[in-house]
Amino acid sequence: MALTYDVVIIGGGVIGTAIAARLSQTKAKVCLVEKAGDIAEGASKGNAGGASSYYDPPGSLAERMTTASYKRWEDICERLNVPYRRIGGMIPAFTEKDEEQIHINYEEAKACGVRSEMLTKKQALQHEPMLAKDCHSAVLFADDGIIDPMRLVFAYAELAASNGVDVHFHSPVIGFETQGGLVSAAITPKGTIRAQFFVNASGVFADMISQFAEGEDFRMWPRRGQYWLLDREFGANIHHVIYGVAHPEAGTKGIHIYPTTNRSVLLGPSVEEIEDPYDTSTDAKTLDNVFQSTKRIMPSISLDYVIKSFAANRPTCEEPFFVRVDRKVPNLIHAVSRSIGVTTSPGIADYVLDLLKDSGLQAEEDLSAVLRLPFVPRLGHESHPERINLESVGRSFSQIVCVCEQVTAGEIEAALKAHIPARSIDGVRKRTGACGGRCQGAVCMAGVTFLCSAHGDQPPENILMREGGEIGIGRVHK
Amino acid sequence: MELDESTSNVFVIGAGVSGLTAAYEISKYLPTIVIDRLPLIGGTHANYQNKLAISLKHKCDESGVRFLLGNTALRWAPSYQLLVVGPAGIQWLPGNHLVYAGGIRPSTQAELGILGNRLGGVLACTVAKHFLESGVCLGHRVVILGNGNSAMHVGKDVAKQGNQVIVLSMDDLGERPGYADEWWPQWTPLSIHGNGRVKEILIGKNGMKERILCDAVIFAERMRPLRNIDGAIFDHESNAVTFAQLVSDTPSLEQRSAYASEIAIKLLTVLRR
Repeated sequence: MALTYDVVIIGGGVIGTAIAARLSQTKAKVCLVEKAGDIAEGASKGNAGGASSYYDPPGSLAERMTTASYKRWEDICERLNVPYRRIGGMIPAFTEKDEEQIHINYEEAKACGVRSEMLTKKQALQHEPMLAKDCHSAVLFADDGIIDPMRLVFAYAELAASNGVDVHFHSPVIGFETQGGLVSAAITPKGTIRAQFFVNASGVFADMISQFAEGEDFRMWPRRGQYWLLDREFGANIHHVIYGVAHPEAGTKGIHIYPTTNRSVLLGPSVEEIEDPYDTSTDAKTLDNVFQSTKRIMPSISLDYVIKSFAANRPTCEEPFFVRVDRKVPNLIHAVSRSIGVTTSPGIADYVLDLLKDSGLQAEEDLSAVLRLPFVPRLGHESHPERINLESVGRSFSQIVCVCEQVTAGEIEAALKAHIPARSIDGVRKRTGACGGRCQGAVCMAGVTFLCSAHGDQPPENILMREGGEIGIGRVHK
Repeated sequence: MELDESTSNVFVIGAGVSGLTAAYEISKYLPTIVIDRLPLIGGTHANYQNKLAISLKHKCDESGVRFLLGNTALRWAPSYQLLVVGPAGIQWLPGNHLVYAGGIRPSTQAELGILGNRLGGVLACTVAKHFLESGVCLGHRVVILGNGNSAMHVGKDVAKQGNQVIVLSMDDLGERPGYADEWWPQWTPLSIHGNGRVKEILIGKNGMKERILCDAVIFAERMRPLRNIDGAIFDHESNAVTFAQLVSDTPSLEQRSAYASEIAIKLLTVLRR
């Protein structure tokens, strides 16, 4: 028998889970389907975690969604226990052409009502002493912030699941049943799911989903970005997000220096239009270009601080940002965002709910829904860890498993026991940071594996590196 | 642990032979505290037959060294305080110098400049060792990067399981290790490929390239000190951090001890000034 819901959300990235979290506050019956074995398996697991206040020209939908989101981060992140810091973002200019462009950014941001300020060379260097000394001027966006992008997605999903949203993994949508111009059911290898409405938040696969539903014709493709991750020892010296200048002819926002919420630093991303959404290979030439571009902005950047390099793909489309009811299929809603999924996710979630209600969904607010997640102490994120009350939270929060990222057994156990639990090494890494630090798991990966093993009642060799059916740490089939 | 704020405590991180030796030397002149993640001494070679570690522990005890075993040091703050986390709780301890002898780890994929994804079957030798001790089969064709002691421990165990061992060494021209079925001296690993789990590794030497099919890759190449205390990643005078351990993973315990002793004596001439 087919499952039946009011709304099926397709895609467990930042946008899908944000929508699920918002709909979980209503009385609508909702599920989320994800083709992978965990959430945040696409673009959401490989981005810098920027939560911008300004990204697009005033009046665009992307601008409206950004504006509807950026002031709310302190509240959202406090409720959902997600690391967030409003550190401000800066675009330094090094040429006259750069200066012209950042003036345009300054004017645009002002027209969006965003706090922005032109800085002289002296002011720019006061804000960010490690900038190259030949910097001409800079524009500062004081309300830009940084967020832990993976923890945000898990928090959205966890909140949704706590309020009764069903999450179905290993459930790629491989077709739809249609009836009278509407989609009536999504077909997955695990079964058919009926619903009144379908929300397409499938990122780079959004074109395929639309095609399956006989909806609008558009094309998505992956844009690969390569990054360097630098150690906290370097990150301690950087106080803002430092953006590269976005010259319009380049078609991209440039290569940035992104402090992260755990004080490491990301350099990137590069821009490569590719075909295969699963191709996250890196190459030395592109990585060197990323390094040189950021070193131009901040000469003290050195590869001595490198923890790792990696690539991640972001969904790209000719129309970079659209959230709307499909023009052919009135009960299908697309939510597609290029590069600003995190930044716009709270705004998109509200907007999708409005679109659903306008289309006839009965979605009264559910006053009994929870709005916050239980607090999990994160020793590594505390500037005063000695204040953690171990008597009340439990001694396992003083048992260090991952030394580099200062992750405790308590945090890992919380990740293993969540509504949307970690079930692999990567699942633990995405939720807690364990195995993702300086030594890349050389110290703790065995411990993490044994914890997963004990919790899941599985021999250690069965523990997967990554959830999704691939063979893991040690299990090898001849 | 109650510490007198006025004393000039020296923290020694690591209770292996290097840490114990350094602690013993320093404790002759300054109050010394040894901290180790594990609740026992000996470090990587923690066993009852490690006579050197055991005798060093006795000397340390006689010399008044204090031990905080089973505790992890996490941060070295500019205010000369060490964040220590363990069964006793989470506390900042005052001290005036940090001596690090916290063991070694293999270089990571990024540090070796090897391209490719994070794949199943690709492990650090330190992790592989734990798995092998638990009877886990790492793979049927296991590529080991490196030809030092750490590589040898893994290689022998993999061979004992009846699986093939392929050893690649970036720097070493030496003899083919007895446990190796294939030996690639002075080849450089370039990239790792696979879909979920590793399937092959691309290696190069003087413009030549070769593909090695495999189902596991173990990192044991270019071992480096495990520096994972925030604020103590680099040693320079301003942050009062000294590394008292040999980086290479081939010398004997006695050589390690001698090196640590030499570093500790040098450090003392500075600290006592």
